[in-house]
Amino acid sequence: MKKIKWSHITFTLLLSAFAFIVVLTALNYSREARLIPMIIGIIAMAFSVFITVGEIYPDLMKFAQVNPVDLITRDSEKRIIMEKPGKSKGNNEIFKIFGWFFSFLVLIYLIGFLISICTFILLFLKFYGNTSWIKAIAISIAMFVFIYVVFEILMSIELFRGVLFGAIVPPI
Amino acid sequence: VPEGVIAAEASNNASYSGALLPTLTLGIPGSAIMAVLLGAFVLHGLTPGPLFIEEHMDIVFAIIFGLVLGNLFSSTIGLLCATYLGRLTRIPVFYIGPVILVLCLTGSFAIRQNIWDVILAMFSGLLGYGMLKFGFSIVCLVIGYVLGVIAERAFHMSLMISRGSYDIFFSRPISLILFILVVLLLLFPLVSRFFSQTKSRK
Repeated sequence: MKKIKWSHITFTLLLSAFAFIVVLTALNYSREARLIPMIIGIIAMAFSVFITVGEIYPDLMKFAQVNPVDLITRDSEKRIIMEKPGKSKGNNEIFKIFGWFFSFLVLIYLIGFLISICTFILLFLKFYGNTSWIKAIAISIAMFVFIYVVFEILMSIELFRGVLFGAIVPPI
Repeated sequence: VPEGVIAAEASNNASYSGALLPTLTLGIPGSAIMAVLLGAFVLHGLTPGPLFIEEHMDIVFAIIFGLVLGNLFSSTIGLLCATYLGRLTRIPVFYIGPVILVLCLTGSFAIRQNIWDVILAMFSGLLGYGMLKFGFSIVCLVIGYVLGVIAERAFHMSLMISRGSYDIFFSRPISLILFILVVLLLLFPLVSRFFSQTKSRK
């Protein structure tokens, strides 16, 4: 018997929840404006249910196992589209990487881009990549200089300074 | 054998010119990659379609010459530096990963200088990873995202022309044929698979 992939079901249900939010939000729109988001949202929810049922009872949904990529792409592109990440990493490793990425996001929010970039690259290379201190410091400083020169000087964009340094977060 | 690789890659590169034609003239992406290009046009306020060539001839020629020059440059650089470029693939992921992340997030901030765009970029990355891992098509999402705006606008325009009546989608021969074709295209894979399974069971 095929093992049920709960991670797959969870992800599908998350997509379904997103579609549900779209439908709920669309209810506040005018009659004409809500039509398309509601149709798309309801169809997306229905497909999510199909996928979930298909995952739990594979025999029931066997006839519907059609890959949408087959319908819209040429063979040469399927190779690129369906390409899976080279070596499948374990869940712990994935969570660890996402943990690093989200920490970076929190750092940007708190202390801004420039200091975060330096700190994140330094710590990531040292503790995740086991690189030497000298290499990690050199790469983080190089990245800091590159971002500062390209964005702040050449493009005249003032990068986010972080809420701790008085930056204001605009409403969504 | 280099000839084998060159032949395959040359034909692959040549296909982009063909895919560019419906993208620029009709606003319909000829391939998944062209859907991304179409998305970039829409982001910059340009709507490819029948009037695009007339109104933005400069951009069309820039794309054509860009494509020609790009192919020439990539062939030259590819032939001259293949050995060195090949070494790039050996750089460990933990060096490339954070650099790409930094560039992506800084770039997403730079467009509107809004921190919410950075958060959105991070969650989009998470969504993309989930879709790739669980076998959802990212290309379909991109095409839907790009064409959705155009389709919704056309849908509302049609409703305005018909004064709110949905008959406009079924009463005209072209729209009716297109509607039937869309329904058939959606159902065809399911029906054909269902029949082939029934046949194989017998």
